[in-house]
Amino acid sequence: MTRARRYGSVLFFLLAWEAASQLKLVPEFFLPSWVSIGQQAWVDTASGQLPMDIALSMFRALTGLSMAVLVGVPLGAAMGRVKAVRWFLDPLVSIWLPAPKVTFFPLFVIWFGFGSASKIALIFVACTFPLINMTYLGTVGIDRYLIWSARNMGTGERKILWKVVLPAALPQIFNGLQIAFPVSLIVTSVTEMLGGGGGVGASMMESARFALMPRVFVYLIVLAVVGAFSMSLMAQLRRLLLQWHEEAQAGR
Amino acid sequence: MVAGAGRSGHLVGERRSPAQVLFLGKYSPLAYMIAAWELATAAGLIPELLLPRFSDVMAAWARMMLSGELPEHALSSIWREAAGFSSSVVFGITVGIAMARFRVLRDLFEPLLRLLFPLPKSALIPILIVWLGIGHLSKIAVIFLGCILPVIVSSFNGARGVDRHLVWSALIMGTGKRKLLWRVIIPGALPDILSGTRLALAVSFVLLVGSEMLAGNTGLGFLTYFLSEAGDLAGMFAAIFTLTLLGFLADRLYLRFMRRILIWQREDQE
Amino acid sequence: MSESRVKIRAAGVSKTYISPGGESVLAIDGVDLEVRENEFLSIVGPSGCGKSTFLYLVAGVLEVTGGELVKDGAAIRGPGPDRGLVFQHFALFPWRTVMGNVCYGLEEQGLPRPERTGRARELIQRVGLKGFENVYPNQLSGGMKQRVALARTLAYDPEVLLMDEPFGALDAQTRLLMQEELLELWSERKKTVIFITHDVREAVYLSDRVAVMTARPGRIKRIVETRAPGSSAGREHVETQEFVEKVNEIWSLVRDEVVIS
Repeated sequence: MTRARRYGSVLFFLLAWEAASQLKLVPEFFLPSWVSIGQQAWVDTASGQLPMDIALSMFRALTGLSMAVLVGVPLGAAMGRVKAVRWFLDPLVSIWLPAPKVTFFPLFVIWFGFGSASKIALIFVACTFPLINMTYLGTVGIDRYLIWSARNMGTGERKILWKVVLPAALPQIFNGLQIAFPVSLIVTSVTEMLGGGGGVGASMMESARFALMPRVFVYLIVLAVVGAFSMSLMAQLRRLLLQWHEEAQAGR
Repeated sequence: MVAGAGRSGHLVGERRSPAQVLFLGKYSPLAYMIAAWELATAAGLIPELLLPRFSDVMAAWARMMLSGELPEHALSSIWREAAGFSSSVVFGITVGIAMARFRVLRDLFEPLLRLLFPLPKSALIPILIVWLGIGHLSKIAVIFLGCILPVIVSSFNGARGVDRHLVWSALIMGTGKRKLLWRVIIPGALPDILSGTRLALAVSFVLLVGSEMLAGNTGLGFLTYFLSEAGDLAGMFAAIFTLTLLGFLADRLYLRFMRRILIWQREDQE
Repeated sequence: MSESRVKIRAAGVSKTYISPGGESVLAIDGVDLEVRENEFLSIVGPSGCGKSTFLYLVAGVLEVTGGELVKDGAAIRGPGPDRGLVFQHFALFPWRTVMGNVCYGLEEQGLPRPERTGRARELIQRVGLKGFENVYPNQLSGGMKQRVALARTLAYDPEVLLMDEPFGALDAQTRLLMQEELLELWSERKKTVIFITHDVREAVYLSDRVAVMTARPGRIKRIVETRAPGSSAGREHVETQEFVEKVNEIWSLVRDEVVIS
């Protein structure tokens, strides 16, 4: 019964959509039929445009995100362990974290031009703040007995960072990453919509301007799939890396 | 989440001289940054074509405030934000809790939610512009649809996660099935609901700015874009500054509201 | 005491539940037990033997799947304020103050505000928490929380007090103190108590009778009289030879089951 309802509701949703579209209850312009969406997907895949757009968008998102990890995690750890750094960064982070970073896109275009650089720069900025914040929260709250016992066993101060602090903060760092990944996809698509220059967002916006609704939906579905795929990838990675953590055991 | 960062920033102990407050106080790093900005641009280290002077930005801000340009666009943005966000909160909490209470609803909605939840919400902007035009409605709809999923999911999880011992206690003490919702389920789900809603608030601002930049002729997002195209860098910075301030204020207000409501979560005595 | 009537009767009570994995699990299987009016009865047994499940069945928050469970001659159907339940982890409403928690049951009975605050104040004082009326549970220690839970339950004056390892989460000293206070309260107010515990000494110290349960699926293995009818309860018995023998007797019964499970 439960299962029937579950699959039924999705099936019903899709069928109702198709019927409304095919029977012209809703203009094709609003809800394109699944047949036309499928045809469009085929055309765009065959022409190579769809794969190219996906590759370009993923390149931008992942470049920006990796840069954010490389910068945000060390900064956050420094904030958590060094008082002077905390004093300096705390007010900056607390003001920039909730700011809608997309606002800065016009400025970044002036600085870095219309190509990929301005987009990647904005993705980097938008993803860095949640990473700094979560790494900071993870490193500042570390059980001091852990550090004491490591010192006691002869771990040098510098090694403590690698051997104790970062591993202990890993669950929080992952929380940061799980916030930053969706942010990177959102910022990628919005900057592409705004700035053009190829990619999923740009093609989507262009199709919307010319009212090519089947294609808009193709790209919408692509984005949903990419989002779902990256989410489950992150969850799996988390399980793999955090096997020692209680949450991983609870999941089994 | 920034909450944890708030209290710990002091280098200085109990007794602080005015000079210490000025140079080492909580928000003094901001002042240093601004001073560095002003000096670097005034000295010509950074060309004003790339970065206007801070004093020019403030002058532009004052001018645009007085001329009514900034307030007008800000009001337009605030209205969209408020309408979209508050309606998504009301609907989202209702649907989320109803899903937790009624199995039928859960079975019907959960697969759809699972399908739609990972979608980067910005993907809705082009479609809603086509459907609803470039006025207020499309922006409100983007914010509403973008925020409603996190609110539903957190309300659902919160209501499902209420300790069954609390529910039992209430039932034993004579709370009826209907009153249980108000007396136990909703208060118990509140911490989850409020933190999910805070995430939605952050997303809503991104969607607001993105959709205003993409279409329409009012709002701070539009203004930023318009001024950048017109080459008025100082004015653009004034608009960015206003938006950042609004985002910060909204988050702080929400945090204060959340602390007030969840006062019972505090572990230290007052 | 010898003439006292039966308050709660379980005849062949069993409970099957569906585990999250979808299998059906037999938690208790054919529990026969009679609890007399105003008696203090403890149930001990190995972990997972279903003693808490039995308590929840009496409370009416779980439903019996086999057998007969009767209070005052009528089958138990659903929870009600005639049977108060106290949990190991207190189950206080975290969003209500101490006063708000103690008042809850009285609110549901529709008692006007001045009366319920008066009664609550009295009980809060009785459990030694005067001055903490407006504090939230989060700010209290475990022992204090359990006192609030006790006051909350006593406030609506149930006939039967069901206690699910109420002192299991407390430290050793608080535990001893709470045991004494519970005995005092019980002899003041005379209620029927069913008390679940892991701690055999605690059971012998508190109870008139101790029921030992088998490993899962739980059944009553033996019932041991621990206090001669009419004799008083108190700390002074703890050192007697008789007390130590009772503890050893019951412990060896439990121990056999722990080894099995």
